[in-house]
Amino acid sequence: MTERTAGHEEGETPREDESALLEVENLETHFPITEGWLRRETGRVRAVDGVSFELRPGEAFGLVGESGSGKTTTAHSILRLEAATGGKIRFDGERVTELTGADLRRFRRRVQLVVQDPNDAFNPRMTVGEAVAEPLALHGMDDGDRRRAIVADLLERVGLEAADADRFPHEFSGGQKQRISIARALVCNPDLIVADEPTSALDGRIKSDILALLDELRREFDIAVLCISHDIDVIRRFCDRVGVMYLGKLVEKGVTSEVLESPAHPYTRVLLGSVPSLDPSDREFVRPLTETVPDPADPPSGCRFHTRCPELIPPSDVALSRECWRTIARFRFAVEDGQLPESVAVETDESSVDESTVRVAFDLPSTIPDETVDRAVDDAIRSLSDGDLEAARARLAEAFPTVCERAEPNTGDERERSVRCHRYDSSVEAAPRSWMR
Amino acid sequence: MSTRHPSPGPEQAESNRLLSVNDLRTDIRTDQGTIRAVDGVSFEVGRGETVCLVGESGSGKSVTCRSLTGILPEPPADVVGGSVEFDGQSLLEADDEQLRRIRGDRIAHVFQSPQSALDPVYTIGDQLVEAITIHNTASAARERAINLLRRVGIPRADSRIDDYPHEFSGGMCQRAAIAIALASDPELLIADEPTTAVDVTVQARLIELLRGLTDDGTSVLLITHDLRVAAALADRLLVMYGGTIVERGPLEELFDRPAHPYTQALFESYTGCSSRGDRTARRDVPTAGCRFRAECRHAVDTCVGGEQPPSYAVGDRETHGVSCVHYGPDRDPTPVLADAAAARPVSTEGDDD
Amino acid sequence: MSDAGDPHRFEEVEWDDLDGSRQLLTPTRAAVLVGLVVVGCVYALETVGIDVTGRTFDRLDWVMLLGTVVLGSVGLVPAVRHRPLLIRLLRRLFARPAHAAGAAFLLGLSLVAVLGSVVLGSPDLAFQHRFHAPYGFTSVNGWHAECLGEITEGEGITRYCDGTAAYPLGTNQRGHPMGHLLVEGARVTLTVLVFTAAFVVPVATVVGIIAGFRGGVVDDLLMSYVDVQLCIPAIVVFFIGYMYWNVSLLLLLVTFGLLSWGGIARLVRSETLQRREDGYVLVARSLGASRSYIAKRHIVPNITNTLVPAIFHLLALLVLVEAGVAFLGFHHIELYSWGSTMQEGLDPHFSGIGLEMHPHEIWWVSTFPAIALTLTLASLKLVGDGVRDALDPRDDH
Ligand code: SF4
Ligand code: SF4
Repeated sequence: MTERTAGHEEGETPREDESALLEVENLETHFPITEGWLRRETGRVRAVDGVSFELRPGEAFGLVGESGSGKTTTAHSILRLEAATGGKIRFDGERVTELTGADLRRFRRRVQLVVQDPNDAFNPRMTVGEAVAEPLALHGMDDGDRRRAIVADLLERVGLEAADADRFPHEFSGGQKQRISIARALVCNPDLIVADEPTSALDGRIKSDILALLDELRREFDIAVLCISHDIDVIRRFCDRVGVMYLGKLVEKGVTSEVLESPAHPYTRVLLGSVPSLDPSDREFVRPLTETVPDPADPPSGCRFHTRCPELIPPSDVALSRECWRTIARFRFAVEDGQLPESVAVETDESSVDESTVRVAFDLPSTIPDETVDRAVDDAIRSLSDGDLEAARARLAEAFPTVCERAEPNTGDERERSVRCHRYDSSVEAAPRSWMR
Repeated sequence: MSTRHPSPGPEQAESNRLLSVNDLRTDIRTDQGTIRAVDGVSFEVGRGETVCLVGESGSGKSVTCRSLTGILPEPPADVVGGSVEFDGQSLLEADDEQLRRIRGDRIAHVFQSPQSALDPVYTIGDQLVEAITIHNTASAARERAINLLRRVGIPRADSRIDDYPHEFSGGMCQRAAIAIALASDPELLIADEPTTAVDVTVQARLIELLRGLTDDGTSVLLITHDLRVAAALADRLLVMYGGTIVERGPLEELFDRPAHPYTQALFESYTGCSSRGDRTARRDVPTAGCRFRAECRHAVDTCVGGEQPPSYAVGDRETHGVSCVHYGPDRDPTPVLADAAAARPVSTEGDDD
Repeated sequence: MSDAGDPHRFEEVEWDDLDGSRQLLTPTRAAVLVGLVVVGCVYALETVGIDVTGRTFDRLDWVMLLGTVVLGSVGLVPAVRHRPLLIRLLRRLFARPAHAAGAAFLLGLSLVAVLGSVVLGSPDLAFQHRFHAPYGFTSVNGWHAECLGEITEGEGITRYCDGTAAYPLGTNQRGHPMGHLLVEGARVTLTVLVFTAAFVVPVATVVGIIAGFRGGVVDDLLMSYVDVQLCIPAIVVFFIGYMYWNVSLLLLLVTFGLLSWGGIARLVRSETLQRREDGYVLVARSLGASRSYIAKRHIVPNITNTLVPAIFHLLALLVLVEAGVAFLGFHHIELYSWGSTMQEGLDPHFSGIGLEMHPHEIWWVSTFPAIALTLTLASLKLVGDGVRDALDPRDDH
């Protein structure tokens, strides 16, 4: 018998009760930033910082996020291509990081990787047949004829011909290569395929075909798929559940249709609201508060999204309209980041910028209904117009303490839907905003 | 519309026309034979208009727009026929010097990969200043360069102007590349997949930036494979397949009623309502008759042989043209149009919100 | 098998039975082992005084034997095992006339070098026949004590001696036949090639791959060492050795060979760094492939485009260095290198003591080795390019 062990043969147990195939708990993967000959550690890039999710057998889970969100590092840590620096990864109940010898080899067969770019997924010096058979050869199948038979069967299953085995990768198109890539991932009868941006190098119908093929094979062979993508369309079409990543954190997680239809986390909303609609009459985008993505080596305190969050929670004693608060928050983080609009060029020598120019540039009203806020903004603008960015920064930071900056939000306990945002925390007095696109 | 001949008297539409391409043909010669990459393409771009060329990779959309200003390496490429007229001047007949002047001055290009368009050994500022016309003094040019960077939304432009391209993120590089393209105040910006290599939040900003350009009167010829980007930017759409334009029309009209079977298939790949279901990965585009024939579910005998079918109007909409025999005179396009409803994205857009 | 009949699975594989069937003793390793044992036995016997080969071996000969074992097992054994691949490679190499000519020349050179010295032995001194011209040409009569050809009259008292078939390529100042000297020079050249290919190239490749693959401190250390090494002029080290240990070809090979691989190591490293990030390497790693497997199967085959020409360039360089050093006179007197032969032909005051002659009057002494050297260098370059092209499947036409 092969890898498929007990759990599976019991057969018809309903999905929900099945134990997880892959459990990722508080996964941390940090990369040291080193300096000099002795490799002294001077900092850490927290590429993945406390990510938890699970995959049931046969399920497709999507990890979506922008570049630098840590989604690929998460995948690589699960595959042990990068060393996790903290947390637990369990595959079929066993700690992946502790596997050795035959157990590790078994794990290597049961979990397969499909890489992003079909153009560098294959060794140009190996025929397609050799490439697809490589997992078999690596795991000790020395019988060349048998390998060839398995490869021929697989190539036909993914829509190519058995005779293609003798050709070289450069003779195939991108879509065909991605099919071969899938064939290679299937050759060991895996239980989990990690697909890192499987279609991002493809477009239009080819992309759609590859997704359909992957989906069909997944259902046919009951393979779980961890699909890493930045493309909402791919997630929507392919994944049962989805996790949204931002700067190494999983900020929202849930059933795909629910997350995409009613995103809860402000970052998810920004992400979805940035995808152009297929309805030509809807051309509005949801904007983050500020544009600069923080450095993962020095992430913001508290909630990592707080410097860009359009729904940043105001201090409890500040009573302002939502619009007004957002303007002030944008002003604050723009100053913090030094991201000043062109009319407020502080760094230049002409140090006296007109105070009203600053107000116009940031859309700040001339008086703000809340007195303490008004004073703080006034002071900050004055410092700015004197060319003292530092003072303005300090004044604003002190005037608006927000829970988002102070404390890291928790996810709560829900298994199906979790949102890492203080607005969804009952102990914080801030109700979630409703979502409208 | 492509058959209209220049008439002597100035016409309203005529004076508004900035670029007109007529029956453009470009071959690419390889060891294996000649590929007709662009096979009789005609279209126009008006002043202040955004025209979007949509198609999958290999449809010939990039070769089309590179044929216009002579930036295609010849050989292997060879523009074998047709005419390209830019503001009354024929570009295919212009010599290298004239083309260079037009490219530096009136038509600008932005490409998919901004990092490769920028020279890594010069600062962003150096490259911008170089692009700004020589009539300016050094300090005036620098001033203008900073303003351009601000205009494309680069924060702290006055200090970042001295950065090198590798110090910029992908989205910032693309902004810088657009800034360089805008340095000469071009009348036409040809943008080839400008947002493909960047993240969605950055893409949203770039789209807003490009939209702002047309508001300033610049014409944009946008090449993209992504219908979403097209929906966000275009005024008019040209759908390319196999080196030919198979459907053209105003954005709203075309999104409301995608008429060509290929366009419908393209829309379906977004909504995922149907997959082609066939498992074969090999597909060859025929060289005669309707190019889409091999994959078309409505193909009939008349689709074989001859040229690509001419552009017929869809219904009574003169501006919406489709190159499919079913829309010809004495034909009933209803069965094909029926698929439009299924493919139409707007109706299935519900789950996007 | 409980799910053997499941139509939804591919062929079932009994992995647990397959595990551990991996071989420790590959044919290549076996060949190395056997070769080393044989050489070791011969060495042991020879040192205790039992003559099994019928000739005396010096240190260089032992090194060459080792080199042959290395090349034979690392190069020939896999080549024989993967015959179809080898045949395809050779067919593609010989498809272009220029590459084919280069390869044929190198093959001929190797054969002549190996067989030549066996057949001809060491050239004898024949001072009475010195400075005979090649067949069809003439030299001044009187340079040699005995003229084998016809003597013709020239201006005044000068008489010319025709070249004869006895010395078809002429002779030098000691009466050595030029043909024989060329063969001897070929042997020296082959020695250089074998030494470089067997000892220098593997070191360079392995160091480059380790540095590129491991990264971190290992990379820093190795590359700093390479940097230091690249700063040491090999010729100075050679001269220091020359002062203390007298002269030998081995000294030259060791100093120049072992100080000249830095460039290739750097090249291999930077290529490895690029390949390391490629998708197929990632997939192989995710399958649990070992580093050496990845290096052998994925890295090395994909850096041949730069590695192969660089190796052949290094071979050519060392052949040239050897000739150059010999030309300068820093060579073992019994080694008839092309370089020293050439020098003798160009400096008649040194070689033809007491005779009034110009180099052009004995042109054959310097020209033939020069031609041989040039052809060798050109062939190395051509074969380098040819092998590179032949290895690249994308270059099918
Ligand atoms: S915790 Fe605060 S800053 Fe973070 S996403 Fe929620 S509202 Fe925004
Ligand atoms: S012309 Fe024929 S093949 Fe082409 S799109 Fe129309 S029906 Fe299909």
